[in-house]
This record gives sequence, C-alpha cells and structure tokens, in this order.
Amino acid sequence: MRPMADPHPKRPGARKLRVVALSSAAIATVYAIGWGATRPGASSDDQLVRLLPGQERPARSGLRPPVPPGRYTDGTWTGAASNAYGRVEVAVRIQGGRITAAAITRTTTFYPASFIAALPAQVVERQSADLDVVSTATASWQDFVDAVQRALTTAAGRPLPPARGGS
Amino acid sequence: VIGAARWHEVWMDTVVTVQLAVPAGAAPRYQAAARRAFGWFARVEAACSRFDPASEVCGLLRRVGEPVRASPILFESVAVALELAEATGGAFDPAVGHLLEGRGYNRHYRTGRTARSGIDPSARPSFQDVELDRDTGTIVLRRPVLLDLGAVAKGLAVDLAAEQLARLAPGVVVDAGGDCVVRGATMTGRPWRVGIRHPLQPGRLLTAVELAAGAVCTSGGYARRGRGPLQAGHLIDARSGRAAEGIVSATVVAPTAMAADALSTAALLLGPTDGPRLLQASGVEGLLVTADLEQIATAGFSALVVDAPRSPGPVPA
Repeated sequence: MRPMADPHPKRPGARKLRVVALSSAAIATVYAIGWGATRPGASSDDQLVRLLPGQERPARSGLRPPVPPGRYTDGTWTGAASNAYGRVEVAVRIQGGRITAAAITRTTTFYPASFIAALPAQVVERQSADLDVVSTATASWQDFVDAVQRALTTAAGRPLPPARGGS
Repeated sequence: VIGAARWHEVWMDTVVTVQLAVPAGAAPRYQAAARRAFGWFARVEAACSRFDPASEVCGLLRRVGEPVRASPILFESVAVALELAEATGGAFDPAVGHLLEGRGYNRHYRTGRTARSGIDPSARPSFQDVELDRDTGTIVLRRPVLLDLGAVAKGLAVDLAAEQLARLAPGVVVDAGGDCVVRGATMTGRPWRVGIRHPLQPGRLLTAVELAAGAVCTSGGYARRGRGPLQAGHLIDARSGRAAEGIVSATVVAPTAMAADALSTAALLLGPTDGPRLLQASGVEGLLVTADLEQIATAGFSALVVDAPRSPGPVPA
C-alpha cells in the first residue's frame, strides 16, 4: 500500500472543500423536517417521516406489468439473463392466460441462491415481473427481473427484447 | 454477526440491508421501524431518480427557466452534487444524465421502462446551468439538464435510514450496494467491521476497516454492468465525456454515506493523482486501487484497517 506523499495537496479549484460539511447539514435538514412533520405524541421509534405538504409523491406511481395480465399465451416459457455476478434462468407456466407458476431453473450467481428464492412466488402473486418490494436479493435481482420479463414477453407472443448490458 | 436482526429490500437497483445489534429473537419488535427506515429510500427515489419520469428531478425538466420549489431531499442532494462539481473542477458533473441515457443507463430497475429526457445527445449542459436559492428553496435549470444524482442520493437515503435506526438500537448497519453506514457496536460489543471488496476477484476482500460510527463507500466500474470489469461505464468524466480510467476501485471512509459516495465517485473520476488530493483536502480517509492494482491510501487509512478479520461483516458490493 503506497502512502500519499504530499501532506499539503494542491486543492482542485483552490477552494475550501465542503462536501463533508454540506452532506452532514443536508442529512440534519432533511431529517429534522421529517421529524418535525410527524404526528404529535408519536414515540421516537414510530415516526412517520414526511416531506413538506404537497411534496410527497407516491413512490411507486405508474407501475404497470410489462405485458398486461391475461394476455399471456398458454404454455411453459423460459427466459434468462446475466451480468457480471452470474446468470439466472427462469421458467414461467401460463394457463388460461395467467401465470400459474414461476421457478428459477438454473442459477450460477456468485450470491447464495437463497437470496432470490422468494422471487418466483411473488411473480405469480403479482402476475408480472414488476415487483414492488422483495425482501431478499442482491445483484441477481435485476437478472431475475430481466429473465422473467423475457419469459413473459415470449409467452405473450411478442418478439424478445434485445439482451441488455452485461455479458 | 451472530444473532443480529437483518432485513433486506430492493431499492435503487440494489439490495439494501438493515442490520441491528439486537438479538434475532427481538427482530419482530423492530420490524416496523426497519420498514420505515426503508421508506427513506422510497422518498429519496421519488425525489431524485432520473429513471422515473414522475420523479421530482425529472419534473424540473418540464419547467426549464423558472424557479421550482424543491423538497428538502432534492434540494440538499443537488446542493451537495454542485459542491462536488465545483470541488472537482467539473470532472464530476451531475448534468451528464442525458449522456448516461445515451449509453443505455436509462432503464428503471423496477418498472423495466426506458426513460427519455429528450435532451439532444450532443448538448453539453453543465452544473453551472443549475442554480439553487436556499432562501426560497428553489432550483432553476437555465437549460434543459437531466441531473444524475446517483453519487449523492443513495448515500443520503442510507444516512437517513441509519439516523432513524440509531435512535432505536445500540448498533446499526445500513448497507446499500456499496454505501454503508455503521453506528454503535455489534452484538459482541466490538466496532463494526466493513470489508472492502476486491475489484477484480469476486468473493475476495482487499482489506477490512473497523469503525464505531461513520460511512464506507466503494465506487468502481465493476459494480454496475459495463462493457468490461475495468470500465466504469456509468461514471463519466464530464470534462472529456469519457468513462473514468486509471482507478478501478475507490473506497472512502467519511462521516456520512453521502460524502463517502460523492467523494469516492469523484476520486475515481479524478484518477490516481488528483483523486487522493481531493480526499485529503476534504478531510476523509480512503483507499484507491489503480488499474494495475496498485493501492493508494490516505495517511490515516491504515489506522482503520483490521488485520485478517474473522468475519468480514457487510461487504460493499
């Protein structure tokens, strides 16, 4: 490990660097406003943190399945995706135009497969790969969503989207 | 960490993990608080995500030239991003959102939808086209600018979540794909240990640091999909318009995740000569790894290093 030689570095831009101080102030400001807007009497571990009135936005507005439910073609369809972390293959079963089962058929991810094991059930529940919240996943999350979306797109009789990014 | 309570959710295209130094058996009592802590990520995303046309930052583009009242989350994120742009002489510039779009970094991780700002790819807006007025809490875009707040917003969310949880538990870790904040101590009473991932060898650590309170952030091209493991495709030097070169991994230890992420991103962009200077001038510690795997550390970094940690603890992705 090479130590830095110059104890008095030439500062880029030759001005006092305030990134740390500004970030600390930013957190204090945002947190204080959230704190101040909570319900009176709420205990400290029961804070409902809010933005200023009129500024709160639904975090998940405009979400729609990539393919409208009920338009899938019956059969069992597969999709796969990969990135630097590994590869995930999935199968989706469509019966009566609806997703009745989804499963990870193969994974070579660097992370434990258990991290993404809960995802297929949620796909069935939500009838798309457009998941709001998943409690356990890591980089494989996007792989899985890609894979399921590709499988769903195939199932809907649409052309496969080009594989994107990664390897 | 044995027995600690943990929760995971996916936010900001990564896995966010909350870990509290309370017995796993007590986890149900902390469940609601953990979920609320994740709520900060939703709020920061709603304000700062350039991938979501409904976000506040994308809304600025529809009101170019006029002062727009901003939420504190957006306002403070932009303020820190502009400060970083000044500090790096424009090497870091949040005004490169449209260039990243053009490189294919434009798909919302949750909806799968592709965002389009409509800004001409040949346009070269800069951070100087963005004005903040702290008195009125407003932001003015002098030209169409798609702000990329990726280097500051995730850190802010991590900081806010940690701030909330630190009031509840004797020890807290919030980790979001490279941005990590620790507070207090582990279940066994020792300071938290944060492993720093080797940029090229998955599963291997470069080293590990130990700290009672603070943030550790590692930036590197390897953490996001790019053309190859060494190319930081999502980190563009705004002066050249090219992807960052020279540094493959930049780790910063700072009081906040917002600063740690911002400064590690900037160090990566500035390269092996100016990057370390930026860290020293900012008063933070850091460890940079060059493309030929040389390690450059700030003077105080080695004091944080723990030798051969038995448990690597949270590993920045």
